[in-house]
Amino acid sequence: MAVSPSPFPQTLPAPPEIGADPSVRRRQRIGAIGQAGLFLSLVIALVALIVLLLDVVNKIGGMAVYGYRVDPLTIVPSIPLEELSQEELLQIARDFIPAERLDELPDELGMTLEELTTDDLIGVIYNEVPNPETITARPLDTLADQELVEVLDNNITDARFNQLNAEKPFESRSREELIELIEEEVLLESVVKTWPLLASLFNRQAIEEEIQANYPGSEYGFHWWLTPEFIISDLTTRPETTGVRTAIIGSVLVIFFTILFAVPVGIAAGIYLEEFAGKSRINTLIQTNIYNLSGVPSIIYGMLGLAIFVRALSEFTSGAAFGIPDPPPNGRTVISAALTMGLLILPLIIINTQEAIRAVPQSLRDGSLALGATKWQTVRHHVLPVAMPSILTGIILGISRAVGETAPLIVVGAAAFVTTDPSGLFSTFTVLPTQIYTWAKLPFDTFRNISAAAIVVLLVVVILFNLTAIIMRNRLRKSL
Amino acid sequence: MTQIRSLSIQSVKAVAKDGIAGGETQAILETKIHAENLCMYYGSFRALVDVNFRAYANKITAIIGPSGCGKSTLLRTFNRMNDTVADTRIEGQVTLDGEDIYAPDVDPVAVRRRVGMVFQKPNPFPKSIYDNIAFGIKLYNPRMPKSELDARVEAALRGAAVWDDVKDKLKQPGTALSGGQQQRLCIARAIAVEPEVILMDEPCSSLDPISTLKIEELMVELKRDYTIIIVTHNMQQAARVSDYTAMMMMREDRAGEVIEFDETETIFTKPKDKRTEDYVTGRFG
Repeated sequence: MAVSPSPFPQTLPAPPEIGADPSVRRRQRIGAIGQAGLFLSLVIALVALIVLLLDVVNKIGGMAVYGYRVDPLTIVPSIPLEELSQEELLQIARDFIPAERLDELPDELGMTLEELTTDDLIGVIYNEVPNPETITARPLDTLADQELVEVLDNNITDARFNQLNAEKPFESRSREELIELIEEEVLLESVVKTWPLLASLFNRQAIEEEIQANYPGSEYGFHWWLTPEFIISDLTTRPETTGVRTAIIGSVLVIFFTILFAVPVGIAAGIYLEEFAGKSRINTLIQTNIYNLSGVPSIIYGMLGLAIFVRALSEFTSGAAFGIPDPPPNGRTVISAALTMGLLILPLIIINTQEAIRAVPQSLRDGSLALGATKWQTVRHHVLPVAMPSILTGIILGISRAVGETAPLIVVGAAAFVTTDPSGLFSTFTVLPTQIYTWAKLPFDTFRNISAAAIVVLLVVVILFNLTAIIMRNRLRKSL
Repeated sequence: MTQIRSLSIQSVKAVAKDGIAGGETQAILETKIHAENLCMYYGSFRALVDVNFRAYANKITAIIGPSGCGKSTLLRTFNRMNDTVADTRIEGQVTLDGEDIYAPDVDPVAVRRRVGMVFQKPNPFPKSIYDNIAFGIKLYNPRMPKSELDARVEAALRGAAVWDDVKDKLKQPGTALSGGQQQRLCIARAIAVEPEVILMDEPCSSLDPISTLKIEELMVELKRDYTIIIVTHNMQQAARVSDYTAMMMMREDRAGEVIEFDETETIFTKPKDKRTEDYVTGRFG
């Protein structure tokens, strides 16, 4: 038979010997470069992530210098100079009046200091020594227990005083406890300077030298900002004592109700759009809009929530319509936030549900329908269980987004300073991201430290939520 | 002509018996499914044109023909599975025991109970073997006592000759079985709801020869109780198992039509249409 002519206009170059084919080597080289590029991208991503995490972790603890906002010597009444003896006054004059003035004084006064009366001596001391009261001031640890209680009583409000007394009667507190109490309540013991965690761990020597040079005599030590107390404490105005319990409860409540609202609605809408809605023009329009909605900036949802849930529906969102006692004056409540967040993640969940359902092989539906199952039975018993793990993945993404979202909640009314724990749908609240934002923008290092600590708490909350969803997903996968 | 020599003894007997009965007894055969002047459209595309087709009760009817000629589409009109695809419609009529299954008051769900289906690729539900079978039964009797359900599941699995393979692992997922076992599980699933007709869409195309043989033997078993219609690409298979064969071809406009319908022996030995002869002898195209 005759060889038929090649259908190709041009024949490929003849292959050279195996092992000496430069074109193969070139193609492999391109592949290797491509692969290196992929790996590099991964490294960049990982490095960025690690840097970010380190930056946060770096602030949650470290060396700190402690100081008092209030000078301890000013809160204890000093001994009046008038009560001192001649000898003691002379001693003060000799110790605190500069030497050259001491030499000049006898000439000015016309007599030596020793010859002055007590009253005149006091007058001289007042004239020559700045802040003479501090000379006779008494440190806290020289006071008797009763005097310590008096100091406390004079410097804090009666209500606080009674509260502390109720916690533990002052009579039964030890001397050290009383001093500690004064340091916390009156002197406002605070951190005046902090160093990052890594530097504190690996360069402690240098920091200690710096402290001794710049803050002589100050107390210092290693200070953790992220402590169990930080997690369980009320919000206060001082970074040293504040806590995020209220914000954690607020976040968890808001997310819980967000899930309660958005997940069933989102899944149901996704199922309807994918399985039951036909291909009409209106459905296409709806579909397109859902995709667009998922890209709308979250602040827009915040404005929407403010206009609708907080203002227009305030009667309901404040709980007044449901007759709850003492409702807040407007709808800045957990339910408004949850509904706003729900709207925000709804498109995400719908789209994800649709994709999960689309991924279920048609053969599965056919198998069920061919047995005479209705469409509903098919979706309910076969499509949904198979799609559920992927749907949960979408929910995980939605939750992560909602937990970390700040902007819409600031608009909808997560207050920056809430000290009472939210207790239900109609409570005012704050959430972790809002708290972090509020702290982070304050111009004090120590607030940045607690903001970092709160970020870690937020991350843990996100991880816990996701972990729950992941465990549920794996359970579902296993049961298939 | 070589194909006919490779018929299994069993089917040779079946073919021979029908052959002896001859064309004139065809009248006393009970027609189970009948398509008359059936046209089927996907939107504006005509997929089937003027199809006339009969499936007799307790017979195996094969549908053969080249790829894309509409064999599966025809098969899926018999249990209205095409309805699950949007924008389909038919002209002409399809009857099951004389009842028009496309009549306006007929729910396709009711049709599918009487006309079961086995698909090209085994598609067991991603559930336990037991639940694969029990699902269909529970559709029709949700409150069946456990003991009766167990018995029915076993009967279905025995009926599909897969009981011995799975009796010790009923709680294991059906998807973990081998391809041939999965396909027999799907057959068991189909017969568990006691249909009258079983449609098989190339049921052996993804199976190895041994599994194929088992399915073919099973089909011959099953025709005592069911009417079977099978779409197949495998000429030997059609010759081995079927009693009647419909030969389909594609027209110029890509619409499928049945060009010849007769007893299998006639189709394979004395086809009337030249195109059928070319196709069954492998000279087609």
